[in-house]
Amino acid sequence: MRSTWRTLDAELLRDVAAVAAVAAVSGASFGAISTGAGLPWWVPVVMSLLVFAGGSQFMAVGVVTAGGSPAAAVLAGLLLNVRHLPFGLAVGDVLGKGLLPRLVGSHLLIDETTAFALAQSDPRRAKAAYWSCGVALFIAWNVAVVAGALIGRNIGDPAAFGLDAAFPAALLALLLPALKDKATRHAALLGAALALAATPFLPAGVPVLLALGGLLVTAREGEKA
Amino acid sequence: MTLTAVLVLAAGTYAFRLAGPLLRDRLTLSDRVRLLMSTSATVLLFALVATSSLT
Repeated sequence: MRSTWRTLDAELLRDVAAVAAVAAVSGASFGAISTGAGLPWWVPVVMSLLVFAGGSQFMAVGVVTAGGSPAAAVLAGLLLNVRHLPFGLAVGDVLGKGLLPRLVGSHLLIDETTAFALAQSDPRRAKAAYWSCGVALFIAWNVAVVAGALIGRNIGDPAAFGLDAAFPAALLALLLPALKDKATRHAALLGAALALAATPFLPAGVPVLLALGGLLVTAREGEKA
Repeated sequence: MTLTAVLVLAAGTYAFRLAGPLLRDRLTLSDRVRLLMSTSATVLLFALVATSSLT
């Protein structure tokens, strides 16, 4: 049994390290793009500490540097972050009953920690996965943003790091266990189709929410069973 | 991007995040609802993968 735990720990640490590496490169990219576009260094750094949600951070900075108002940037960011509401409901158990773990742990609720926790069948492992991933990513992301922000200031106009592919690939790998279930897979595929169809017509962040329409499939399949 | 804007984004995001774990105490969720919550998280994440890699 102990050897199983050791194996799981090694495997989990490997997965966390992989996701943290992706986050670090993405974070450096965010920091560099922000300062390279002329924002003061504290903007990406404070955003990364207090918002800690990559998608919305890139979005907000993108809106502002394209000439949009801060209000529009905030709205776009908030829309992208609405999905944390169902995430919190899905992994709420992992944080337990204590107020402090829930207050602190909620700040670490992101796509990756959600996926890590959901990928574990055992509640204790889910908790270990959530916290180790959350803390690792918080450190990796924020350190990387600072480094990127400093580099961006000195280089001037940094090339985009083109790492857009790494984030979805890492996330997909975490979702594979959940997608083994037929009903979930159908709902996810339908949801993705809905989101993709809506993308040209709706502002960023909203199409992803439409994916919840895919859940209608599970509702019907549940009734059949 | 003013500090106020960053703080508003941070506060709103944290509210979304905290709502789930805090509300769980007040709501007794049936197994079916719990399953729905997990599935919806997977569905959203998968849609995020699809839209960020294909668009």
